[in-house]
Amino acid sequence: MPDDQAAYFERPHDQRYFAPEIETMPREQIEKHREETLLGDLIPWAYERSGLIRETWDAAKVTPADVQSMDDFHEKVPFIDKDAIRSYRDRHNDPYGGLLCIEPRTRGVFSAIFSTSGTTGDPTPAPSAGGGPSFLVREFWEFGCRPGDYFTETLFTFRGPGIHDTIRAIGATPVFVDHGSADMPFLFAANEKYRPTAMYNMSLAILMGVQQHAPAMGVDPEKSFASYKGISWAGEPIGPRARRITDDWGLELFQHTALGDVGAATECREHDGAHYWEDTAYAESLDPLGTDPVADETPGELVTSTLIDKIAPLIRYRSDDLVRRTLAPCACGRTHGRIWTLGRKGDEVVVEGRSVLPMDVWHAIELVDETSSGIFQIIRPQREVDVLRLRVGYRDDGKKGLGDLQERVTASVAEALGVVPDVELVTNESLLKLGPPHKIPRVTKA
Amino acid sequence: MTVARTIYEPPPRAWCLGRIRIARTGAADELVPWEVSQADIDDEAAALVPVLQRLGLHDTSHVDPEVTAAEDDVRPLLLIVSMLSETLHSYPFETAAGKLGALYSSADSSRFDSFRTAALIGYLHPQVVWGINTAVVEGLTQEFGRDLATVFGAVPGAVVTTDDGAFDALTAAGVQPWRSRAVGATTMIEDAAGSGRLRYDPDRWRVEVDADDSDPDGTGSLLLSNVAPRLTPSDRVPTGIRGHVPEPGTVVLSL
Repeated sequence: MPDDQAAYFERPHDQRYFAPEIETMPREQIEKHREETLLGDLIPWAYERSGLIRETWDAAKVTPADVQSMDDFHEKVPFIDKDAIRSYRDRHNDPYGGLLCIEPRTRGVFSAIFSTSGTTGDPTPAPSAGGGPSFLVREFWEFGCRPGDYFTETLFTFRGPGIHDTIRAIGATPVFVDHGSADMPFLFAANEKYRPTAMYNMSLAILMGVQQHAPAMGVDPEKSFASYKGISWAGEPIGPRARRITDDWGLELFQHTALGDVGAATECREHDGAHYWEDTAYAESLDPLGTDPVADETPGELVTSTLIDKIAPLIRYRSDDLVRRTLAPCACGRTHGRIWTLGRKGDEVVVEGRSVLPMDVWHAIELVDETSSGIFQIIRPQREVDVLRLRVGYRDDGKKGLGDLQERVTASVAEALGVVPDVELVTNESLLKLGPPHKIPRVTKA
Repeated sequence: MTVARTIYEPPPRAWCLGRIRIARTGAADELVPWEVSQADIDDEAAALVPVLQRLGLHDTSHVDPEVTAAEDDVRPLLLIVSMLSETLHSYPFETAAGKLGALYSSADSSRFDSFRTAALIGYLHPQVVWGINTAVVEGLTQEFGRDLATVFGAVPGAVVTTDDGAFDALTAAGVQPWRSRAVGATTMIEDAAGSGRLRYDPDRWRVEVDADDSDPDGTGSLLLSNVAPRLTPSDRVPTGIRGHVPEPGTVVLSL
């Protein structure tokens, strides 16, 4: 842990908030902090140093001097998105996409270069100061983990050691478990001996691993996980079947999602939307096809700006994520915004005039026993299609063979959507290996 | 206005709960939960500093950290390829890289994530790559159709493997790999590429041949004990590795 965090504070263990003065900050303070940080610090910093931000703003004929208020910000500041970052990367042969504000060779700033998940096989390097706790201490405390407890971590190494340090920052000991089926025997053993109280993160891959190994090892998942007070679920939204299974195991899951690549959002114990921390990020919800803000609780595209990242800051980043957002205080007492993830703008297909997102077909696929794992892809060559094409994973081909299974999956989806799909069946394994382990690409061009 | 600074809880006694592999003759390998402390990590990192230099990671720790390097200066980088479950062994490499003024980057040592190892070598030009195993070489060649010589041939320093499958595959591809082994709660690396001689610090660890499982020529199963203090003591831990100890500090593998 860095030296400047050597001052520690032992909280009462029954205290709900880890940092009450931040988590319950009055809205006017949140907004004042945002305006000062964004306009007074991040924007001039990024404009001076980030090639992409400079190029984008110059093209829009905007400078930081033109942005004196949040109204100016909303009216004038141009957007960036993933395509802009890739385009800059390719045009300038810059693996960091023009975002870096400090050269990696600069000593005394960076210790590591991590990378994005790179589901396309093309990870983006992300320089980092290295370890140190993150704001997730607030979530981990909310899960119910306390000093002296064990905390199961299942992250990937390319994300760096930040989560290790965050777990230790609440006084707990990380238990390292690989994110996949093969390490479930170790997880069961650790659960039995060390009784961890929290986990970051569970996903469909771990759920399937537990289902695969528990019966053969004589493990009752409900007993094995009985010590857990909170488990984050990440990678993709939890489907109805996975929810039923984890409910049966007695797990309290906290949905955890990215906040437009500038942070994260996680449910609290009220399970009424995922909190994001407005002292670390500014989140707008805009018309997915335009630039106007949408009303609170109305579906919109998440557009984010960092308030803390001066290494590779994103400012007005169109995330492609469709969310509902509210700024209303939560029943838990926290005052920061909340979102509900609806899907990705780029995942939507329109067939026979009907909008279809992965979540819309998920339950229908899970209803068929052989495809109940809910592993599928929508084939989306373009947004508007004549036929809804689905690639669906199956566990086994059933008693009557694949032809019968295909008919049943087709009928289930048709009943749910009113649209008859064209279903291609493949094994679960062939889709899972498209990974990364905690999620598969739910939409593919072919 | 500024937001209040977050004050954290005192850190736990154990830095992590990892695991080590224990293997007794005639029995299946066993993964044993193993706690290490921050002091353990720091001491393992200190022991790795000269090892990384031997592997070809340049020491730039003397460079003034306030000085922005010249355009043509390349800050050395260590690419660490491992799984989270191996953190007890891999994290000291991260710390040791920092002691040398180097950067590090990470990829999972899995079949699926092998594309990342290739991509990061291409983007970041690491001086040294540590942790290549069979899953990574199979993933690269079978899943992603990559040529091992092309992927690893550009690495100027050592490419370090952690199992025989990876060592053999890279050797066959014309790369001159080094061997590394997780030996109980520590990591040992060859003194030269392909030598079969693993080095360790005898002031920190003691290695001996198990008299109950040895051959007439003196080779046998190796047992590990800690000499320097460790949060979890190692007392003649069966490592599952066969070889002999010609002198304190050197293990010659039975290949």
